[in-house]
Amino acid sequence: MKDKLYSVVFTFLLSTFFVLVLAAINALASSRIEINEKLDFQRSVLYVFGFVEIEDNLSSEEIQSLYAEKITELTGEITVYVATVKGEKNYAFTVQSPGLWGTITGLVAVSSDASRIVGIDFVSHSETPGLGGRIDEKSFKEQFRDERISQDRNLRIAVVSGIDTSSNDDSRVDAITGATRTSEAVGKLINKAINEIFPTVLKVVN
Amino acid sequence: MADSKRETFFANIWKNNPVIVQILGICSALAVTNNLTNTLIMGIGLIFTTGFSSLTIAALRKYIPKNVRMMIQVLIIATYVIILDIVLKAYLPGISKALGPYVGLIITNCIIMGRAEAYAQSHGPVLSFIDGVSAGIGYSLILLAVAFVRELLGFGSLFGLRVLPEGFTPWVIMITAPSAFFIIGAIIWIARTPFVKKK
Repeated sequence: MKDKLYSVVFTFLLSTFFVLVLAAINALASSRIEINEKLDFQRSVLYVFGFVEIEDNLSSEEIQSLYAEKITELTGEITVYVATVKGEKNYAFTVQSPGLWGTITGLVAVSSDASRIVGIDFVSHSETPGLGGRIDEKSFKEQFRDERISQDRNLRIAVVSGIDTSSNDDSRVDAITGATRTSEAVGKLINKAINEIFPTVLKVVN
Repeated sequence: MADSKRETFFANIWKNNPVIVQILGICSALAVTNNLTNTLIMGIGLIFTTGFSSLTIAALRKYIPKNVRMMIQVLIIATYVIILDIVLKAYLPGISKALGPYVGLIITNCIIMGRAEAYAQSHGPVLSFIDGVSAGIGYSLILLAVAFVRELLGFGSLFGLRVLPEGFTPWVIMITAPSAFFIIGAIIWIARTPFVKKK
């Protein structure tokens, strides 16, 4: 009996101690994490509009000033990021859609009439590192630049394999080898962005 | 079991290597070895976690009730993994992003529990720390060897830098998990042949 009580008390005290340690570290770091995440997001927004490249090494001040200069945020039902690229207004917005393991949060920029994707970035996802996780890679994301959005509601952008995808007008991009399900999930994410979220974006903008 | 610091350290790197001798940590070895950068980060994360969790468990070993020791071990390991995650997010956001879900994978790595059970339970904190760190290094070395082959043949690059000419046709199998089975199998086979015979 005494042993059991000792086990319970010991486990309880040790758990409490570690939880407190974690809470303290978390409290100390959370403001920094928030700043990092915000910067990361602003960088993503700049990237989808094509203002920065993935390999550009920008300081946090540069990102903030560029963001303030180029991007207008409109808040309504959802937040829409507006920027003028080559004299044309483009809209960016976030979309959440299920991936293979968890939710993929994507940032999609489209032209004002939703005829073309301007750019795409993945803010967060939990796909398999090295397989589905490769949606983060430049070679995958760059395929979406200026890609025409198809009129077919079920297949706005087809993520395919073994078919020529080189043209920007064929609404097709190359899937990732070894990550069929993630590639399909990205296709679904874009369908959702255009079919469900874009009408709301127009409401916010107008 | 060797008890001098030196012997403890080198035992885990070769003679008692967690991957090729104890066959532990295979799941993560399959998952993360398709490029060298990820493998290296995973290795460093594991070295940190095994080292400090072994240290803590060894320091508390006389007070931990035997019947709940595994719960306590998991608690300690999980604490260090979460600390690692928070620190990376706050101070090294780039690496944290690259690491992503791996941090969670560290908790499930059997090597950490294995070292806690097999070594830290019965040895002092300093030796346990050395044991934990060297187990992590032993694991990382094998994984880096696997990743070297996989990245070179699967992508034609090393640490993301292209080393094979443009015209090189990547071996698709090297990108997917089965190739890690073959390579780890081959490494274990080669490493064990002279070693087993000696016994």
